[in-house]
Amino acid sequence: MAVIFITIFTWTSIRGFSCSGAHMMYGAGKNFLARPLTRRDALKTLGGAALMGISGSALPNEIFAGPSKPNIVFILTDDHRWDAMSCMGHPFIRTPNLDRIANEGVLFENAFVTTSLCSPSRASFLTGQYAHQHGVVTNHTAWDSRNITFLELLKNAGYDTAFIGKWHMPGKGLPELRGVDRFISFTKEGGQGVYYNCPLIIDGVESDRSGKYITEDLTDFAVKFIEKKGGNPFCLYLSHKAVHFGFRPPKHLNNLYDNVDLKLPPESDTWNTVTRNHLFVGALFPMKILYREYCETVVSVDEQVGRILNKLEEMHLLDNTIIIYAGDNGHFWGEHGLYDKRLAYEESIRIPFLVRYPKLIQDPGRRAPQMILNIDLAPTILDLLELNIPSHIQGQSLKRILQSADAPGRESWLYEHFPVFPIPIPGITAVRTNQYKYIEYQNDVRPKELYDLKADPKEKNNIIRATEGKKLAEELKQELERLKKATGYRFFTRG
Amino acid sequence: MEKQSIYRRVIFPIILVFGVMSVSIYLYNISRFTENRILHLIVSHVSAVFIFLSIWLGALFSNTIAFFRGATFGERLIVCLVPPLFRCAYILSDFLGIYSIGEFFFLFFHHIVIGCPLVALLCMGVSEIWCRIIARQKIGARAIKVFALSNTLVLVLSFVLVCIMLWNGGHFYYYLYMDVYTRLFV
Repeated sequence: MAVIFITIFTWTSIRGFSCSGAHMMYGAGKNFLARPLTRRDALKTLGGAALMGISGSALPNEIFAGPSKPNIVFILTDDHRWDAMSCMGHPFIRTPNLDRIANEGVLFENAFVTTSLCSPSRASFLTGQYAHQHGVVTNHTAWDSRNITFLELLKNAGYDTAFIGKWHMPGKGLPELRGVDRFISFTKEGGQGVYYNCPLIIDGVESDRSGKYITEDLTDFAVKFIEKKGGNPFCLYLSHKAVHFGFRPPKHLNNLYDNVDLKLPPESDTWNTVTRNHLFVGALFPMKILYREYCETVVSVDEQVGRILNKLEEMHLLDNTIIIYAGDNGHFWGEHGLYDKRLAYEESIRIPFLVRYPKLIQDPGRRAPQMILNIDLAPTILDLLELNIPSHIQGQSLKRILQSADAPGRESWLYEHFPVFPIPIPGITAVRTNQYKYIEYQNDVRPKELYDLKADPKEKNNIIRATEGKKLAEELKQELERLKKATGYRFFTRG
Repeated sequence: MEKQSIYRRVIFPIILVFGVMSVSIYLYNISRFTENRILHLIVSHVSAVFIFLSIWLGALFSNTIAFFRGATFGERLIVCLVPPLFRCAYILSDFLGIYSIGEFFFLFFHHIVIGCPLVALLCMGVSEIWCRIIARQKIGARAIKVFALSNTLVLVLSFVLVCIMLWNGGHFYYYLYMDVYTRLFV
């Protein structure tokens, strides 16, 4: 083996000299490769190579290695709406670090979750499967340890892996998550965690975190994980509690937006959060207070994303790292008179989804209009690393879209929601195409809905009873049934 | 105190609170459909105030009316509990067809549901104090005790239960409730 290395090194050395300093050593104007190799020259080079090989540190390991595998950093936030970023034109939130990822990568303008709820969506990101397949159908259904995460597949492929942050899937404490070297999470408040002083479970050991702000605390661990990079590439799954309800920005961002016109939607009002049974989702404060704190908390996430980017840059890892930022679901801020999420309207199901990977993305700053889903994360990462995508994965790789703006996206997809006790929202199935959305409710407890998203992007006019709507509804109903069949849909009555 | 007709001492106070509650909820729900933003805000703010008063503090008013119209303690209990129980039914109607019968009944113990009648009882307990003081001082009904067993029991029990439900911002009761739910149904 050593002989092979030395021979390869000799050859690469010779090529290197031929391109750079060869003319100084072997005479100007005369290419080393162009002249016959003498025995003396060969011995000189081999001897030098052997000495450098013995000294070890004289040469970077990369010279002997193949092209290094990219690292993965996936940052997942909670309830972060697709438009709560300055790169999506938010009127006052400033997110320079997220904007940077978008400007240096691809921003997916039509990214969605297949279930707009924390636990099912998070399990879908991990497994690449619909909720009805991975089984975490609500926030009360436990993680099935038979599920295979992309972290496990990456571990098998030689990656150092870490899951840091919100797990939020019930069970007795945290699961034995296969394929992660570091597992740092929390179980406080049913796994939702709290913004300040949230105890963490660090590789199985509970740790008091008095005085810590959770987004910063989790990022500290993420940065330490990156700093400890060894010979293997790494995959960091950083899953924030922010910006979930209970919104609390860090102290230095408190009151940041106190004097800002919040520009809430016209149908929104102060009391949305405490009327129409919205108290069941835990909102006890007027809309404006909650929204202001939400926006300030988004800024804190952006700051911590910046720390990750800076660390990667400082370690010269940035361009060999696939960075993906996403939210686990959207959020209503008064649209349709609603608060929270779960329903199949755009505000609830659309998420931010940003990818930065300069080695693949040739046109940074692109905005991709193709419809993509949270279940696409796992197959995309596997595909980018040229690993096999197992057949149980239901999402599609985004590699082609990342490479080319013209790559086709999906034409339609299935949205599903299962009843979550004690929330008065029925089970939902819906199909969304590029132009239409058709929604059905469990036991028809609410009327079916059909929206023309191009003519009515705010989904205010249900056209299901209109003449054109009746025919469309039939077609979309058939498409919904087709998607259900194709994905093995089944309804879970209890969660 | 003169015992007035059942309509005046029982039905009227119920209709008053229930009527304000229903009308204000209806007005609030339709307010967002108005094109005029100013009108929307005025209607939503005003109706929200009346929703709050009727749902959570309605018993303060209805019990006072019933008391001075000669309703018995049992009748006053009915006066105070009927509107919040209607409110509970209204809330629970949103859950019909979604959950099993067992879960549906368990919902009644959710603090947002059971909280309504409990807060009404607390308001009744508070209202009883001032009603009894006024009755003693102004009407001269000296036989009436400010802290009789019945109204004190209502006041103390409802106060303790409301405190339990609100402890730690309601999180303590909620997670306890959900733990029981998980054991029973999941």
